[in-house]
Amino acid sequence: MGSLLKPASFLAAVLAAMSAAGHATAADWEADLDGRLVSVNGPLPIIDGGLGNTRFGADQSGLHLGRARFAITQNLGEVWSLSLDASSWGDHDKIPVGLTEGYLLWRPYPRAGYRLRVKTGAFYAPVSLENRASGWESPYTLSYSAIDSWLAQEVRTIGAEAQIDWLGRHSGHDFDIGLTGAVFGWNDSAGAAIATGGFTVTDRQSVLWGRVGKPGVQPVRAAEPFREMDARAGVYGGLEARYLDRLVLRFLHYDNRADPTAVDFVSHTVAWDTTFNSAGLRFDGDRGWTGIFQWMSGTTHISPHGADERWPFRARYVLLSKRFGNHTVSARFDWFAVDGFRDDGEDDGWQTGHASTAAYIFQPNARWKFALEWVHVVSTSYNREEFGQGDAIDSQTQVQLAVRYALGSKSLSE
Amino acid sequence: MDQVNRTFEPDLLVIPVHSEVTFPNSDTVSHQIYSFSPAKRFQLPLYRGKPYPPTRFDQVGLVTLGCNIHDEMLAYVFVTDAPFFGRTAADGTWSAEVPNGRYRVSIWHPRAREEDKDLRSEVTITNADETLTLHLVRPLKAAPPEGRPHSWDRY
Repeated sequence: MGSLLKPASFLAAVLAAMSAAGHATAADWEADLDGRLVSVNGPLPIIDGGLGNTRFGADQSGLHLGRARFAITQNLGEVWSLSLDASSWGDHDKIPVGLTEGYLLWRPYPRAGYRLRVKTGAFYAPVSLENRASGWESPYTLSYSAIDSWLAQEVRTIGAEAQIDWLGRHSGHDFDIGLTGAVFGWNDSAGAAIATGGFTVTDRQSVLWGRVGKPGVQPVRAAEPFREMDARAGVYGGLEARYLDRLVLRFLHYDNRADPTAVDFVSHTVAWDTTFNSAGLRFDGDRGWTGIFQWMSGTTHISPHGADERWPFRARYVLLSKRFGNHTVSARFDWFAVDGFRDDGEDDGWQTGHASTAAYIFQPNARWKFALEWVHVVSTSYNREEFGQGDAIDSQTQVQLAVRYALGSKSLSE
Repeated sequence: MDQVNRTFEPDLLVIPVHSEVTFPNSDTVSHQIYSFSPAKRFQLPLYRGKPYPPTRFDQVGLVTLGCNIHDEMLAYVFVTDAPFFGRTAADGTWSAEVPNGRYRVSIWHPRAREEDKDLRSEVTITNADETLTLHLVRPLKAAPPEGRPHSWDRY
C-alpha cells in the first residue's frame, strides 16, 4: 500500500497548494472503464505463471476487466505540471491498483526556437510509436506489439529525463528535432521476464513496483522489474525527428547498467544487466493511412555466483492502419526472438515466434470506444517444454471484444 | 484567433501593423500560446476562455504561433503595412477595390516552397477590372493530416 499512499498524499498536498495560489487552471482528469469479452486458446499468460504469449490464456475465455483507469494532470503555476496515471487490471498482481506513470514535468517556454523539457518521476522511455494515446494505449489495436508489450511489462524510467527540442516548424522549417537523455534507477530487474518468459503480445502494463509472473511458479516466478540492486544509475539517450507532422523517426539506446553479479540475498533475485537499441518510423499519410515500423535489438545478462548467462533478444513489427471517420482498421505483424547462452555452452530459455494482429475500432464519440481484435501467435519456446507447460511449438489465438467508457475533462476535449 | 479542438481557428490572420488580436481558448483543455518570431515575441500563460487583453502587433513581419502544451498547434499572424491586403478564399482568389496606378503584389503561403522573391509581381490598374494571376511552380508542402484525433499524440 505504501506506493499507493505516497502519490495520493502528494497529490492532495499539491491540490491544496494550488487552491492557495489562486492561479490554477482546473486539473485535467480522465476516468475509463474497459470491459472485455475474450475467447482464447493456448497456455496460461505470464501474469498467472504460464508461458502464454497473449494477455489471456488457458480457461480464461469469458468476461474480464480490460482496464480501470484514473488519470489526472494538474498544472502547477506556469511551467510545471504533475501527471498521475493509475490503473487496475483485474488480475493477480500484488498491487491491485497502482500507478503506471507518475511524474512532474517542467516545460519552460521556447526560446529562440529551442525548448527544454524535464520529467522527473516514473514514465515510459520514448520508444513506442503505436502507443500514442492517453494511458500509453494504442489507437490501432488493443494488444501492443511484442516490443511495446515488453516495455509495458518490464521497462520504466524511474528517474529524470531531459529533452531539448528544436522547433523547426515554428521557425519556418520543415523539421523538428529532439534530443533526449535520462538517468534512472529501480529498473535493475528489467530483462528477467523476457529471458524466462519471452516476448508476448499483450496490453497488460505493469504498475510501478508491481510484479510479472506468479510466485513460486517456474520459470518466470515473481519477476519484480522495478528494483534497485547495485546503486548504479541506468541511462538512455535518444533522437527524434519529425517532418511536417507526418513522418516521425525515433532512435533510443538504453542501458540499465545493472551489475550482473549483484544478488539480493533476502529475495533471492539477481540483477539483470539489460541494454537495447530501438529505432522506429511512423508515417501519417492522407486519407487516414498510418504506417509504423519499429525495431529493437538488445541483450540481458546475469552473472551471479560466478555463473554467466546471456539472452540476446530482438523484435520488429510493421503496422498498417486506415481511419474511416470514427472507424479504424489495423493490421500488424510482429517477429520476435530471444536466444539463450550459458557459459557451459548450453542453450537455455530461447524463444522465437511471430504474431499477426487485426483490429477494428469504432469510436463514435469521446466517451465510447468499441474494439474487436484477433491475435494469432505462433511461437517456439524452450522453456514451455522444459517446464512442462506444453509443447515447444505452439500457436495461440485470442479474440477480444472491448467496450470502453470514458469520463472527464481530458476525454471530453478529444 | 480562437483555439478550437486543439487547432487555431483560423490558422492564418493577415492584419495591418499596430492592430490587436485576441486569442480566446474555446477548448476544455488549457493552452499556453507563444511566439518566438522576431516580429513579435510574446507568451500567454496557461488559460482557458478569454482572460487576456488583446495582443498588439507593432512590427511588420510574420509571427508564428505555437502552444507549449500541444506541439501540433501551429498558426500564423501576418503583420503588414501594405495599403491593401487580405487572405485569399479557398479557391485562391482575392480582390480589392483600388485607385488606378501601379502596384507591387506579393503573396505568401505557409506551405509554399518558392522563395519570397519569386512570389512578387507588379500590376498596373488602368480600368475597372484588372486580373493578375500568379502560379506556384512547385507543389505545396504536405498539410498536416486531416482528421487525426488530437488525443493521439500523448507520447
